[in-house]
Amino acid sequence: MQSFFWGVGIFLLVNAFACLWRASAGPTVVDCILAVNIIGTKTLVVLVLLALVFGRAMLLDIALVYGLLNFVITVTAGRLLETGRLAGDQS
Amino acid sequence: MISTADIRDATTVVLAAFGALFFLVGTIGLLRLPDFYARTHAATKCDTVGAGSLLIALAVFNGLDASTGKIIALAGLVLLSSPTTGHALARAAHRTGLAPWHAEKGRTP
Amino acid sequence: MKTTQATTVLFAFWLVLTGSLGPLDLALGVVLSLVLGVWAARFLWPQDAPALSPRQAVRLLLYIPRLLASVLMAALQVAEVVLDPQMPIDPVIIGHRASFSRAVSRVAFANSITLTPGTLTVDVDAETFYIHCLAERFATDIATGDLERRISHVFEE
Repeated sequence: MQSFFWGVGIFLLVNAFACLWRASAGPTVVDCILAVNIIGTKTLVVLVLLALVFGRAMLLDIALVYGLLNFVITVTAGRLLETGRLAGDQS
Repeated sequence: MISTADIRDATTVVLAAFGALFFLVGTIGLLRLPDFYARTHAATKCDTVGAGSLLIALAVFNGLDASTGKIIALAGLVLLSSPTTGHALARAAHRTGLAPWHAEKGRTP
Repeated sequence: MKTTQATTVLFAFWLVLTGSLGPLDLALGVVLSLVLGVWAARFLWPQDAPALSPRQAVRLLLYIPRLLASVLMAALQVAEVVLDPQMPIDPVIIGHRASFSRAVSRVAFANSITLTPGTLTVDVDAETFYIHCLAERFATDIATGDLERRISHVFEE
């Protein structure tokens, strides 16, 4: 199973690099943010894979924090783009 | 003889391959679709299913212990956050005036 | 009531994170989730908590498998579009009027639209939902009001 997990992890990393092209090419800013969010999701799964392969439970905590940060970063970047400031009203 | 471990491994492989396939479809969609809104479709849906199915596969492989709770929590986090980020970004794009791509006009934004 | 709910959720999350039942861990978890629960109920949701009656909670649990099935259908349909060399899409943004009396049902409606095949909620103002469809045929389920009735059934009866 170890080699299978390595295969899945490498496959996901190749996918993430393909997404990196969209993140750099755009054409709009939202495209870049979306691509970075997708790369973040893939990284999260890769972290869980590494946690199982190496038997380090600590990596799962890192994956949790990574997922939460990924969510917050994307929403904040969208809001910054929309309103031009970070603190906004509820409308 | 087929043991429980074999069944567990087979389930893991099938679910993980399914999830990886959806990740691939999401990537192709992100690269191939014509405009931001269409890409958001591919990104939110395929990534939700891909990550969910892969994480469930890993939870099945891990069996019942404390780490499995964390993996399930991660799957729930992805399921909840992925549509929400889709909304947030689509709303930002819509309010900053990004027009959607139309097939008949054939123009790219 | 709000404080109890927030504290319970936080304590469950604490149990998942620590994964141990030692007395010190439990005591620390109780104290921390109480403090954070009181804080969340006072400052994070000052006006409106999405409280559900027991019957609504049961209906919500029954709605979840259906939602998961439709997520799977949505992903398969996107896969079909993406992998087709012709890419048969003709995207439109439509406006759909739906009136709900509670914020939580508006959120659930918007999320359910996103998770059904070929549609994505783009914006909401007051009662109009702006929905991006990959092609107009995907919007029939929403236009007939089927989805709206299902959400009302879960959250508003």
